[in-house]
Amino acid sequence: MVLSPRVRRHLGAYLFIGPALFLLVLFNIWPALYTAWLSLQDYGILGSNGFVGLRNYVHVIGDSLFWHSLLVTSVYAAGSAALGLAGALGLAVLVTRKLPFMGWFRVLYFVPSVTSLFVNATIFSWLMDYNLGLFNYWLISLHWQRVPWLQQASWALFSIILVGAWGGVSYNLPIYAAALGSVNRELYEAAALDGANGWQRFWFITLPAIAPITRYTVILAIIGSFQLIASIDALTGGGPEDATLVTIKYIQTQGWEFLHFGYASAITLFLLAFLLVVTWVQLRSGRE
Amino acid sequence: MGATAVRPRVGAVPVRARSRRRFTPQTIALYAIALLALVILLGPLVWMFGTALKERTEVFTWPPSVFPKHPHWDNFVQAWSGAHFSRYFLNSAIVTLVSVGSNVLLGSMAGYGFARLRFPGRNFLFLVVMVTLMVPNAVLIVPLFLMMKNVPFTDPGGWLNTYQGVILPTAVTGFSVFLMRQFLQGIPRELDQAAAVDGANLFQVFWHVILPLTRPVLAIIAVFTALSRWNDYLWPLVAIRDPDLYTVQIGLKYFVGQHAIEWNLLMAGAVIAAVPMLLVYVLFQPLFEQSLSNLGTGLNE
Amino acid sequence: MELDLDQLERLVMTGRMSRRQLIRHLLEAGGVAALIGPGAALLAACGQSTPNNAGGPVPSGYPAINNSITGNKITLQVLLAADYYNQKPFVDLFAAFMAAYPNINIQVSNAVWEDIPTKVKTAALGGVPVDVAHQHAFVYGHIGVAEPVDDLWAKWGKVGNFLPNSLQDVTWAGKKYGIPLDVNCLFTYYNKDLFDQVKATYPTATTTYTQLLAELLKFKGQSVKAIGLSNGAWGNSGLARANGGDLLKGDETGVQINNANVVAALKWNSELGWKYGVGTSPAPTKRQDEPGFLFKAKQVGLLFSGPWDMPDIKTSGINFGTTELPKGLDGSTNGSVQGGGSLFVGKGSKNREAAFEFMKWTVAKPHQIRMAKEMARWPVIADLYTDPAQIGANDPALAPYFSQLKYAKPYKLEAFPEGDKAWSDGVGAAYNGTDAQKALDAAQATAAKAGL
Repeated sequence: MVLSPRVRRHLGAYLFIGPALFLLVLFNIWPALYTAWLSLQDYGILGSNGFVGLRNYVHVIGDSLFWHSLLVTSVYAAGSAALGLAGALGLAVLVTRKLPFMGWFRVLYFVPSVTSLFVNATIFSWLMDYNLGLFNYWLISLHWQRVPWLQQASWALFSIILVGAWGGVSYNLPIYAAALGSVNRELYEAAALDGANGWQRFWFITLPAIAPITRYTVILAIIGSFQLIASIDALTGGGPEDATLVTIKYIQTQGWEFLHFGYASAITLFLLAFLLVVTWVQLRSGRE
Repeated sequence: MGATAVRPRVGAVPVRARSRRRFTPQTIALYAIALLALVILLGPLVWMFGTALKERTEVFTWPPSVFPKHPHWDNFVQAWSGAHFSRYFLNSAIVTLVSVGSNVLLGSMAGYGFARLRFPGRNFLFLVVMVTLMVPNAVLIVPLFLMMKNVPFTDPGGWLNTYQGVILPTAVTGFSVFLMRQFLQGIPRELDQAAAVDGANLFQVFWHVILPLTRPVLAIIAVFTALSRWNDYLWPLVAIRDPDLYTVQIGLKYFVGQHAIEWNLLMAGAVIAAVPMLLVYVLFQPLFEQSLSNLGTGLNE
Repeated sequence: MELDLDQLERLVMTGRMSRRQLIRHLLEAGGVAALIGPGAALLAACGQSTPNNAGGPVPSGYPAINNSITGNKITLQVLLAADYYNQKPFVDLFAAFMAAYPNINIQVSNAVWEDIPTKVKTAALGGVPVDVAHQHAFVYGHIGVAEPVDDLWAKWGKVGNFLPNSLQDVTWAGKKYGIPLDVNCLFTYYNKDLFDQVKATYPTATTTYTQLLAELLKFKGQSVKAIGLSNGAWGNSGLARANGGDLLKGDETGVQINNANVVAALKWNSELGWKYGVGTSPAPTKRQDEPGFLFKAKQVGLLFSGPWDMPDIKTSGINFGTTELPKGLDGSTNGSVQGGGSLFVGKGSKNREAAFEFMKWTVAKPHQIRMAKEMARWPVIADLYTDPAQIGANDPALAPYFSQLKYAKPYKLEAFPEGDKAWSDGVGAAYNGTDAQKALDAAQATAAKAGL
């Protein structure tokens, strides 16, 4: 078979992306399409009870618990991403300074990312226990009041954001540390000669220089927050009174507990659409 | 309580002068902050380790304790056998290693294709890759289960209850492709063009030029993939019926009983389960250093 | 060659000798006469599986060989809870069963209790049902994922052997869907030293909620609290039953979460916390083991819990007593919530009878006794309780537990997941300060919206 060089090069490209794309489409896109197909049916544990068209979607729109879960998830994503990334960046600035032992700190800071989310969340569920937990014990020792970390609706969302941020600091630190290490030194020296102080140098040089990285971590952090379920399950189970009901937990509840697989699939597609919009907006705004 | 948002204070001293070490108040403050961060980040894990050493009745006392009076090192032995770790470590290792291998190889190939090669449909197909990043695995359990069960030309049960059934759904992730592509966009094209002029074909360029250059990114993909697969729970739980194929995380859950959790053994098991991943990170960490610099400049959209 | 009919019969019945081999053997042993005479019956039975004495040895106390499952090769997929499947009694049971039925191979899988529903449901959705699964059979009967087994129960005829309420765990809408495996229930623990400190009288089997309140109020102002509160759905259903409150309508077709007795019980329990200040703040949903830890740490005087806490309470050296749950507000009711579990056959299983046969073995007296003695899992066979010593339970502290067991019923609301969630949310709200009536009215409304 004689192929022209142009065709041969395209063939080469397809061979390079082919295997990965094949696996991704087969095990990610195709099941997602299946989920979309499920969403058009009334599907229970015993199988399909027939096509219902867009009825599930109409239901979702009118489901206040779904919108509530979307709000909870957004607040969680924004809060844990903001705190986690800011903390990671701050620590990265600290850790990339040429001081003795900073290398050790850098390695140790990553340890929380090595244990599974389930284990980490289980640990926090006890540290934050109202009656017997270590945090409240310290508060009482300081003659303050106990805090209902995971028991009161208002506190519960805050607490899971803290746990999410805690993990986020550890997970993103290596990325920021590497990014900071790559900023061109000459920029700093020039700024110092111009009389810029430390804070100004950070704000006007460092931050813009690592802006692409920041955008990347923000996008991934938000996507990750929207998919988080292991932590929520181990900490609060979605409560109290649905205060920490993230959408993916609501999807699991509707699907696995209430056995409304069609409805759960419709919610999934709404979530996916929401996430696509959010990501697209972030990518767009980054271009400016 | 909570993560410390550290207000970075880049020193007022120019870079060159800073090579002299002085224990200024500023340095001491920095170390103090670093230590505080260490306490916050590692504190809960220290508590985990302390609980792993406690005896059953010491686990939750009032006032609470971090470490027990007498460490029970045999908890680790008990956790190892109770969670069948000898068998399950092997299974997790197989799943993780194969997944890391396929992610690194296929992900880097695809990343190279998207970054360097021009072909019809390139942007659309890359968008497809990005979409797979957003689809949460947890909601795909049912279709994946059905797919694995109905694999053609296999005995009833398909590829459920097999290594390949567990590995395949995450053999490649959008993360690997995305990362590689971003990184490559920061590496000058002249390098591979030079090789092409020398008569190298696509694959030779990839193998001999690109891969060595991107070793740091490959290291990151390897470590983060290993972490994800080692800590996977839901898909292995659903896809495997034969306990001989169970993974470490499933074994770890054995200490969660119907009415009571065996906290000391659960934490001991968690410590053991974390050790391999810690080793992986420590081994690969030096490679990270140079890597992501190019990631930043390469991210243009 | 000698003609050993018994041995030949055994070989034929267990499928280890084919018809052709049998004919050859008979001819060699006794010529054509053997074929016509004694061998004729054997020849006729060859290939079928009806005659007696098929299979291997059956240990005493276990059901006799069921000939309808001794023919073809069968693989039984059994899914048990992770803390059961590898315990010695079960390991021995698998071996004994397979020795008795050499044609049956048991493949044991396991998962932690809370993950078994996911595995059973995916198996059902995927068309690969589990033969024997370990949960609450009535839930799966209701959703249609468990095989109804009334016919097999009728053939067996052993309904009378069981604790009546244990059968509730496998019954839904009058049909049976499995065999109960073990039971437990909620009862009362109290710390005698702490009660003495505040000069409160110990609760007894006849104490009512009203009387108990008076005693618990004596803890007001103390550094330790009177009771460790829990806002779990399961436990609170038991506290409601103690007051005669049933969460399901009598015919099990709907829920009555705001039933008056249920509301009153929830009111009593939740107000101990936010109104009277003598109860600890209830733990978050995932930490329902916390009240037990509080009791073991000597931080609370009273605990409603089950037998699983007893070993640790003993080791902690507390001077404790046990009694039944309070007898409602006015002493006229007696109830608790029954836990434990049952085994059921996954719908669509091709080995229904074999699965049921295996399940029968798990409730044979010797096995139930072993479960009690070696695993602290309490039997479902009624006359094992006549003499507690035979199940290794002569501890007087367990006596109130056994008497409470007679009146404990399972948490059947679990069959209605929307109802379960509504009840759970309502209970949580009540313990957090909402008036119990309001909280449960809201819960009932939510459940009604879901069609219950």
